[in-house]
Amino acid sequence: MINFNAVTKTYANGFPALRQVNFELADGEMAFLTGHSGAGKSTLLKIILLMERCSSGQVIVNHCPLDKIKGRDVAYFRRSIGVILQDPYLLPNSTAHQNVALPLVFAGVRHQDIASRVRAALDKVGLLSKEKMQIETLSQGEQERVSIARAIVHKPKLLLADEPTGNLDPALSAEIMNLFEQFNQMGVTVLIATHDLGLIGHLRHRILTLHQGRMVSTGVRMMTNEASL
Amino acid sequence: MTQEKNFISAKKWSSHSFIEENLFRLRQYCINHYDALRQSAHELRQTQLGTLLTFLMIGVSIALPAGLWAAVHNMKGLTGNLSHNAQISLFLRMNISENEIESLMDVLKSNRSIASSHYISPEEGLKEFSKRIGMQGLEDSLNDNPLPTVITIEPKLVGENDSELEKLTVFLRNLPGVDNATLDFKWLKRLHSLLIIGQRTVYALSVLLGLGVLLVVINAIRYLIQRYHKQIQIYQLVGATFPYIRRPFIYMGLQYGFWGGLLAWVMDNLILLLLTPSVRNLADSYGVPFHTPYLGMLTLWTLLFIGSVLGALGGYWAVNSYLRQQQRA
Repeated sequence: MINFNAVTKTYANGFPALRQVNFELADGEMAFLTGHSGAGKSTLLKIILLMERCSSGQVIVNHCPLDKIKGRDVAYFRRSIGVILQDPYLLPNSTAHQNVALPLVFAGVRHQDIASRVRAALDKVGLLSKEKMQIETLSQGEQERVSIARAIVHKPKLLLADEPTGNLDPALSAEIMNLFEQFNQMGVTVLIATHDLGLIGHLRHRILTLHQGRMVSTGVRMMTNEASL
Repeated sequence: MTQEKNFISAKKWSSHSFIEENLFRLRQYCINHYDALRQSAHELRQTQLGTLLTFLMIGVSIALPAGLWAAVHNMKGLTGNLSHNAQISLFLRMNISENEIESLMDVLKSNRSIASSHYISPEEGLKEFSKRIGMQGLEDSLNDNPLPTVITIEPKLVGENDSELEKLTVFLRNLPGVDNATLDFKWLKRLHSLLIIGQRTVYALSVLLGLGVLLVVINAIRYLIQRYHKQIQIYQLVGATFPYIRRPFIYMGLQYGFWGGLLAWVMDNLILLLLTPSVRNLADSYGVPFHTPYLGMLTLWTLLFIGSVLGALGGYWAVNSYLRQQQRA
């Protein structure tokens, strides 16, 4: 699903965020990306999302070399990925339903289909009863779950999460991780960037470790999910 | 390439027939445009004062060249009428006999370049003169009438062909009994030249102020983009295309231009309403028929069209440069 081949990213100010990073993530696999703050976790996810382009090397996502994707096609590419960021990136003046519906609206899905799919996604994250509520009135944990519902509503093959539990208490964080595992069991490839080793310690998935832009470990705990076996 | 199409196929959701699919797409396209228009109108209502100020700025920018154009257009109309009335005045010798005058009138009547001629006796001339300068009874206070007999001639040749008029004047000046012949045309020529300068100034101003409208819209849209920065980021993150993001801002620009154009039309007509009495007096003093020069419906549609196009272009430019900047960053 994801293949990084000698990927280097140097920002315009000369800061080397990633140095010769190599790793592979198979279809249906779930992995954690760890490292200290500034290790390059977010940059790596941004490169997969085409929010950044790598300076050298090659990235292949879903069998597609990212350097071949032109600017105008980035939007279509992103529709095949679900994204969850630490800041949930939700429209504050809209309802949970409207926020979750966005990927489907952009993909041109029929209106009647949108409603049923949004409700299904919200149901999955336990927020169906709050679909009509404004985002501002929801708690931080609920906002995070709305963000997850939005990431899965269009049934992406790949789910990326950047510190999805960064602002949440341990109980809620465990709940969110549980959700990711459920999606992974349905065949979705999941890559989660986190520095919370305590949270992922008991989960049996591969851990990719970045240190000062280098991939220092790519498979401490290898465990593919049942669906991919 | 086939792999690239894997994700591009995300665009193709259903397995409906070709016609159904295209009808659905067309409907979706119209809905997207309608939503963008509604969203942009909502946004303009949200920022009432800012929107009003922008409308006014655009209105003034369009009103100025439009008003000047109307003024020049109307002046051209007036001078157009005047040029048809270009006159040659023949001042006859003092003590010219009645017979000489009659034979001169016959010569004038038979000339094909002359549309009409009008005889003014010295007595009539003095009466007219005293009336114009507001000194009633002037003719009684003078022992001798100093004015010569005058024949005013309206040539058939019209304004533009002034060399023909000059030739006719020279011909008339050399007729027997004629002391002098003057062509009341040079001032008209000067006025025409001034009007051409005015017209070209209007064109130059139109280009400059059109550019001004464009800049005002770009500035206003850039400000709005800053407000919507996060929303645009969210849209981009979840797969919104550039046209989808651009659309509401283009509609905002279009609405700025549209309402600015309407305001310009209203402002110009108000100014014309204020100026009409003075212009009518001026026209009357030259004996030129004057019609109220309000900007009509055709001008309104033109201003709305120009305003909307400039606004939409400004909106497109502003949002596109922002998106490109984002792409580069």
